Amino acid sequence: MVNDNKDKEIEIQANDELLDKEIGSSPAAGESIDAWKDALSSRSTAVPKNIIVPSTQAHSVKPTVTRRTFVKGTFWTGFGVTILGFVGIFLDFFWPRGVEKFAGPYPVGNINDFKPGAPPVRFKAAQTWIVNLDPNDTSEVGGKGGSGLLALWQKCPHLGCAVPWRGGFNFNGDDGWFRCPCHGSTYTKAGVRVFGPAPRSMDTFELSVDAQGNLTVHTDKVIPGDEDNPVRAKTIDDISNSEA
Amino acid sequence: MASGSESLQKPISKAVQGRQARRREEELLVWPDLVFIEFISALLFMLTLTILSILINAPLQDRANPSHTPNPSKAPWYFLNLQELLLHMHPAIAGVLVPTIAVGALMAIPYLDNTREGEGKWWASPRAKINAKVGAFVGFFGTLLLILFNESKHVWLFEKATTLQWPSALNWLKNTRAIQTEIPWPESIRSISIGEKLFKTELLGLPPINLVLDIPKLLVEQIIPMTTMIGLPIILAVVAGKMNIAQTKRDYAILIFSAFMATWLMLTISGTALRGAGMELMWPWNVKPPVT
Ligand code: FES
Repeated sequence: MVNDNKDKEIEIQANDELLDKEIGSSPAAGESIDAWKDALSSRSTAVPKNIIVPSTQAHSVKPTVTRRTFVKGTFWTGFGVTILGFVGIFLDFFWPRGVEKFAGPYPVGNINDFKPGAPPVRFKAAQTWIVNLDPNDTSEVGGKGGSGLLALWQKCPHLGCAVPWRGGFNFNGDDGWFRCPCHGSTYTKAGVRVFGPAPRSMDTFELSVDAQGNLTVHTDKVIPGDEDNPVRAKTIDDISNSEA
Repeated sequence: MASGSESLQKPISKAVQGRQARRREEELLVWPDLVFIEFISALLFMLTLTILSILINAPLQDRANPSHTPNPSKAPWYFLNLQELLLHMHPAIAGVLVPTIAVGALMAIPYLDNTREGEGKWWASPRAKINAKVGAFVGFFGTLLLILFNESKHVWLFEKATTLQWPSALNWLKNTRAIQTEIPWPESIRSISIGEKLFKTELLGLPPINLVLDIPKLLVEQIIPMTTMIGLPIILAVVAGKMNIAQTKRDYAILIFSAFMATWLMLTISGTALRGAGMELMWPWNVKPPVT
């Protein structure tokens, strides 16, 4: 066991010597049936030991590209291609595409579309939830008696996920909350934060109505969310009066 | 020249021949000792991956779209520990500060614990195993209890056990956020304007920076989580020291390290298996794949 490696080394040496002999001395034809061995030995490319060519004579070629230049070039090419690849992928991921201008007025239907106390309605292009708070619902989840229309920005004030309305979600014994799918921030129907890591309540947009009762949400006018969200809700009378 | 070319032709084995051979029992060969094991591991890994990919569907989806959030929205599993932290504290702490400090502390271990006792040996100190066990136990279950508290499970337990309502005077103990929302903090400490005092922008003719300090919010989002994360390990170390479980630097290192690893594990388990729709805490069998 101890001498395993040594044995192997000696064996290798022995093989080398055997090979030398075979190549060096070609057996006479007819003596051996192994004609292929002759053929092999005649093809030997080994330089005969007695001829020694000085290396200076053997390599008199002047290279146009030195080895150093070649290695350097290879390195910088590889490096550059890699960096370019990173930059390209970065740009590809971060290049805004299919982005429509967001801030501005958006039509969000007619005032008659929203019944008091009905589930919030989402407008994708405006990123808005339109809520119609029922003044008779004084529970915390129902908006604490705020009355009228409220435009909530769907973007969670925590890390920006789109917050869905979940009518069947039970929290604190009540059903129907805005619940963020990313870190669980929970908001009442009026967007008031009751639980979770969100730093404030859901932000609201300004709402306006024209003579025909068509609603417009102004997504360029964001009001940071707070506990007074329900009070920001406007009844139909409020909106029409302010417009008049 | 002749001698030079001759020395080049010498077999390498001759050059090593004079050396004292190492004893076979003292060395491991790359082949077969290492490569064989690596090969078997690679085969097993590929097999597992193939079977998993046949059994579990993981479709490629569209490019990320911020206005389309699957429910629940989860990071890759190895980041779910951090996402679990995000449920409980300010995002800058959970997402930036904690990972930075954790990685820094891990790198600092060899500098903090520079004793040479038991070098290169597992469980070298007689108290190593007990310290690892205590640290892992406290880290794992301590984290679990903290998560349960922030999900108001103590309220649920109280109401189940006594069939009473949770006293409304104790509403502020329902979870950490309730400390901010259920206590009538005076308005004066809820919005302290420090923008003008801190940055004298008017001297440069610039508009004032609006910076409002909300003490209860600061308390809930930053001070309480930070104190918990720094204070509990200190208490653990002090108690272990008083009970003579930890005595040397190495003992403390093992204690805190295993507590940290167990905490990380618990956070990963919770974020992966115990969070369902709306990142709600639930039993693993109730956790469904995300609804897109
Ligand atoms: S993004 Fe909504 S809770 Fe984190």
